[in-house]
Amino acid sequence: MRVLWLGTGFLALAALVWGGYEVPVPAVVLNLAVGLSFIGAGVEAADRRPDSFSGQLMIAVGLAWFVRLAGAIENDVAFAVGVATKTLYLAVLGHLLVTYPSGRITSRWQRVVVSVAYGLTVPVNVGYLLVAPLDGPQNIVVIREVQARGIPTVAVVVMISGIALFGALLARMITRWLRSGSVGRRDLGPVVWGGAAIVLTTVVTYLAALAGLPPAVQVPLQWSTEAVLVGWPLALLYGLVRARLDRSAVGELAVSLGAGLPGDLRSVLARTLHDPTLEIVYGEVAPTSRGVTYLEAGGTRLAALVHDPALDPGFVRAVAASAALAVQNELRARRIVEAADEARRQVERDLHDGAQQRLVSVLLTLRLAEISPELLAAAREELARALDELRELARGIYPVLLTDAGLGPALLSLVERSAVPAVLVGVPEERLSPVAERTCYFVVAEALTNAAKYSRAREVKIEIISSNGLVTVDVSDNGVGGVSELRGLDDRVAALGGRLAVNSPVGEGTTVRAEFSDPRR
Amino acid sequence: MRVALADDAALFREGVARLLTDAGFEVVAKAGDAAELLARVHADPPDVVVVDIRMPPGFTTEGLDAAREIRETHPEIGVLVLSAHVEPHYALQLLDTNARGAGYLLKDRVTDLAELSDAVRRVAAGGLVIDPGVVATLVGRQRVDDPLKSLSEREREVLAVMAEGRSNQAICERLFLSPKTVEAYVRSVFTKLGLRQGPDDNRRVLAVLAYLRR
Repeated sequence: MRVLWLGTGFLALAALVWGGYEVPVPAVVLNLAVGLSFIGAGVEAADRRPDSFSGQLMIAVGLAWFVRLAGAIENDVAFAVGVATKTLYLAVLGHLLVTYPSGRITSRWQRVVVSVAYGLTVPVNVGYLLVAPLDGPQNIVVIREVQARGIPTVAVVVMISGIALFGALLARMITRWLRSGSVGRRDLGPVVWGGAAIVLTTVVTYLAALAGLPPAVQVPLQWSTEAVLVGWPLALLYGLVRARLDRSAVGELAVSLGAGLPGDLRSVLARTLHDPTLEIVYGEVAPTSRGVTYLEAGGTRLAALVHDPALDPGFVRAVAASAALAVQNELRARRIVEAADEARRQVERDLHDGAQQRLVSVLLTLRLAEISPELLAAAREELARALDELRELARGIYPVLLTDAGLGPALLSLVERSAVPAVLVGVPEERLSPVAERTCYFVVAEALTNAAKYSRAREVKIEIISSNGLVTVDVSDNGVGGVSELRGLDDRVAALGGRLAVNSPVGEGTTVRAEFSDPRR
Repeated sequence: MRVALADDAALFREGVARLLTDAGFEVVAKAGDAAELLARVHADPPDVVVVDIRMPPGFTTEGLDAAREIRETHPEIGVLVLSAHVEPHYALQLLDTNARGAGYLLKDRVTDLAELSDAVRRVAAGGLVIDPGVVATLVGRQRVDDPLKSLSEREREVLAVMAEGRSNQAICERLFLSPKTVEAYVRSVFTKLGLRQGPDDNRRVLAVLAYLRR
């Protein structure tokens, strides 16, 4: 590719310097600079954005620019080639402008504009060559002194068509820019403003030629177009490569989200994506014309990003993947808090409807017993029941055996009270860390409760194995199966970096298996 | 009969002391924690120690540990552990193979003066006392192909009362049965469950509890 760049540059230089005509130094420099700028930027763009065709189009603009320099060689054939391709670069430029940044023609409108642009160049130039009374080669690169007798009619027609076409193109680009969201504007910025400058200078140059202004005016105008043409490919290249630069922002995002979810995730993501209109939707996304990218973790949709459709989908997906991890953690933390709150509510209800109610009636009975002492026995019975309820409640909240005596005794106690027959197949001899023991206990407790409620199992088998710091809890029943998930347990096991698997084919019983490593080791 | 009492709740301690005094016991020591209890017991050994399982400083099983230590150092002293937990595990902690003079009772039971003084007397005499609530948990456990299902209702009652640590005589009184009938039931229970009768009441309790805990 560098060979193409250097090679064509050298050929162009040779044509201008040794072509046989006297070409002013600024013209040589500008002509070389425009072509090299397009080809160089195009090569770089094609390399960095293989998904876009714009790089190739930029190279084509540069090549078309250089081909017309054949007209600077004092030779009949070269002159013909130069004239035929004199305005070809403008058509390729139009092609690039219309299709940037994808470089691909996607609509009928684009196809029409691009076809007309090409149609106005080579065929018209060839036709002109065939009919025009030109005597011998002339330097056509530097605008030659216009004879007072004026320009050929066909050239006037072509120029006016060109002006109309470029005017339409400019109008179209500006409306496209105005209608775009901030993301679209950011992407279109280089092409619109650079393109507008080129179109404007080209149109002014044409108008100057049509108006027959003196070369002293026309030549600097031509040069100003070329000066803009030198800088513009670099702006296009920056626009194309920026998406790549944006991707490095994904890495920074992942690092900053890893440190904890920010208070305002939306604005952090909006900053990374450069899309202030970004929304995060938890739950169903209403049908929208905007872009929707889902945050997914472990095959579950956690939330959706509703964003400017102009954003590069790959870029949004990368951002969404980073955010999904953080959101998953946040949702898990939220579920844990909610589960804790729900447990508190349940304790309050149990206390209020149970022991507290009984104690009130004890108080009442004691008051009545002041008159009828035979009621004392009733008060005592009621009080005993209140105590029983409090004892069961306390046990349910936290099994004191777990701390005092360890997992084995605590699970045996659980098994002895289980509503469905349960067997403790195996429990580690040694004590595990407190958090590992608690996790084992509550996995078994929850799985047992679940089995008793829904499984219609005849028996539940419980086995806990601890080997090299890896703890496996297995609770399997021979019931009806069909259990989908045990959410609270999932979070509890995940909190130790482990995983919970519920295998419950309908009619074949349920196996709940938790695996995690004991954090003590 | 001389009783040492330990519970960190002063109101409960004084209440139990008064009940025991009213029932004719002599309360010789009232301690607020296990260390104090052990010091008092070593200084002046009583006939029975009544101790709360959960006391300062850790509020876990200090009372139980103190009771086991007393059984080691003063095997002649009966120990009765009071607990708020219906947990067979704690009760069985007191009962090694040669267990005698030990009991595990729910705190609630102290309100029944007859039951309390009966338990104190039984552990003082070297017997075993297991709270009916604990026994009910063991007997009520759901089992696949439950062997207890082969027992008649009367036989299950006899089994439960045996597990509480009562003698045949006590079973007769509790279930209003003649000694001969009780003996027949006990034999039948042991045969059906495939257990061997121990040489004394304590061995019998241990055998039954071990069976129920399988």
